[in-house]
Amino acid sequence: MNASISLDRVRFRWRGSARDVIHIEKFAVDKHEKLFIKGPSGCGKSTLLNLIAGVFEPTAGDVHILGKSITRLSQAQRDVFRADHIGFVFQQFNLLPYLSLIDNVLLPCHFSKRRKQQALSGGQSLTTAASELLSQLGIVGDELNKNSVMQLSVGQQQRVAVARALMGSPEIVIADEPTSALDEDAQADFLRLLFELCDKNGCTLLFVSHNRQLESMFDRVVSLPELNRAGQPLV
Amino acid sequence: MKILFSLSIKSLWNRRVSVGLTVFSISISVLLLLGVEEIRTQTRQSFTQTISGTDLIVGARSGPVQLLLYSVFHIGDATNNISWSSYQQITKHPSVAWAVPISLGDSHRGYRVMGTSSDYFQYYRFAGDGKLAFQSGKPFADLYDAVIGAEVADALRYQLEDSIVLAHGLGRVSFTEHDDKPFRIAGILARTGTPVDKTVLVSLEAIEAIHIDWQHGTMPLPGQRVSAEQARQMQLQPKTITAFMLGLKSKIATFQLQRAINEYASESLSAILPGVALQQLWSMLGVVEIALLAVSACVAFAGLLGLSSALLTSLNERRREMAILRSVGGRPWHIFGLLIAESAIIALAGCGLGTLWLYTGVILLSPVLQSTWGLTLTVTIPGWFECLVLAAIVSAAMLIAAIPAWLAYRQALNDGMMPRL
Repeated sequence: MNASISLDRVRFRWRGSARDVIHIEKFAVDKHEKLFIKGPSGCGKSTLLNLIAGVFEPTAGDVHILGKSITRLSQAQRDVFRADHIGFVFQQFNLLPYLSLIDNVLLPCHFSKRRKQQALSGGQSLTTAASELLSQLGIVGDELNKNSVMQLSVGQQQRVAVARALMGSPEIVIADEPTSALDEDAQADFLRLLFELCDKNGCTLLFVSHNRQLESMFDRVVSLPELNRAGQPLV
Repeated sequence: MKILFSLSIKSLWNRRVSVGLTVFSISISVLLLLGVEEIRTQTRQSFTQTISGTDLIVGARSGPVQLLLYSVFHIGDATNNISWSSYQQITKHPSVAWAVPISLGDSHRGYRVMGTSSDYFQYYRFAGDGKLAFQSGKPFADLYDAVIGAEVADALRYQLEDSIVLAHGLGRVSFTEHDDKPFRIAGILARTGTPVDKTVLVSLEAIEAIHIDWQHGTMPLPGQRVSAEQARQMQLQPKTITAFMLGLKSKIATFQLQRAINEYASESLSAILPGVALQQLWSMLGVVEIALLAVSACVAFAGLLGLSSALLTSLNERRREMAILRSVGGRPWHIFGLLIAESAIIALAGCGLGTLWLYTGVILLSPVLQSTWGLTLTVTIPGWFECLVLAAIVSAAMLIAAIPAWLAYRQALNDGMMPRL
């Protein structure tokens, strides 16, 4: 089993709805692969990510993450599993405004014992691990000590979000339009940093975007409208 | 759990203005609840301890509360007087240790005048074992000496050696004054928080002397007047008194003597146990205290509802926050717990602040309350009632926060990690 993520005849429909939002026969992401999922908004990207994250339960079919069928887990077990193995970066406003930079990065360690242990495995303290990760993302010195994350630029905020997603070395990183708030130059820089760190940590990267200019940088590109047999829902 | 606590503290601090207002409103309800209770217990205490050390109060036949009201609180009038011979007869009873007669009916500028013997200063007790003490001066020695309570002295700015004139009857403005026989202030009593503060005390003989030339309660005709000096030479043994207080050698004899007095053949008398009558009187006032408590409880309830609605309205703008927590591994019950914790923290802060208000208020207001109403408020360590109230408020806050917490829980489940904003 070399797949990091695999979906098998997965269907999903909202409760009370007569039509599927997602219908995917077969979909797999290899370990260490950097996959670009493209598609216009409303094609079911968020739903797909929620299925992979185990937030939503498929109406039919099976979702395997790291060789484990998460559809057979209880909601609580899926929550723990997700916290242990998946890091997330969203489009914007990833950070809690009332926490410091470091505290934002440390958040996953409070909810996942596994990621806390992995962060501590280097022998350094959690705070040191977090600031090291931030410095690898180019956030050093003054910026690191800023009290409010709201003082950071959007680009810096996104990089802090990457540090948080990678904290405690989860196997999978899911990035949902993380660059859409950035200008073009910043987008490329951001991606380079993201790739560098994913390689270093041996992560599988699932990158969702409608920006096709970026797709050339990825190992593989999948178009969700082609993959999803449910077609475009009327959302 | 630790992370929930620290997250909720930081999140609350981030919203400190609106949270502060909620804390403030909770603190006001706490202040009201505790304050009403504080005043209630302290009033009850000073009220039920208005008179102590006296085993029986004897007056003309009437209900215990009425007898207590006119003899101790100087409210209302006696139904009848009792004869001096009955007083003599009863005080001869072997179980009687001491007796203090009381004669009421006159006033001085709205304050009651009470004729009594100098034993009164020795035997009257209040608030447990409190004895009447003199701020200045001493008990009456001369026939025309008067001793005044602390409030009379304060309100009328009287000092020792001042001359005062007693008025016949009880009106604040009286046209029939005993101006032919002025009194000298011989003593001023220290404040007691009892009706004694509002009383002018003179000897029983003085009461007799100022009425010696009166016929059937009307002013003497000019030719029949008896001067102050002439009165001194006359027989000043009173024929009647209003009531008297008894102290017994042994408490065991109390009920026996009470029955004997109630069945006294030559005159209709009532003997009451002051403690019991005070309790009876207080229980009549109990409705007011329950009403006060009920109002404060409603205020507390409104405060808690406000807390709940404040949390509820904040939910929508905090959807992003909840989604972020979900994405870093927060489970729906974490979201639920976060809101419950926030509510508990707000309630705790409100309770702390309210208690602080209360004690500040007690410290600042107690001198004023003491001097205007004779009500003693002391800073006491919170008792079980206070702790119960505080615990109830915090628990109720957590319970009522279950509504927004449940909604947040549902929202967290439905939104997943990608809130549809």
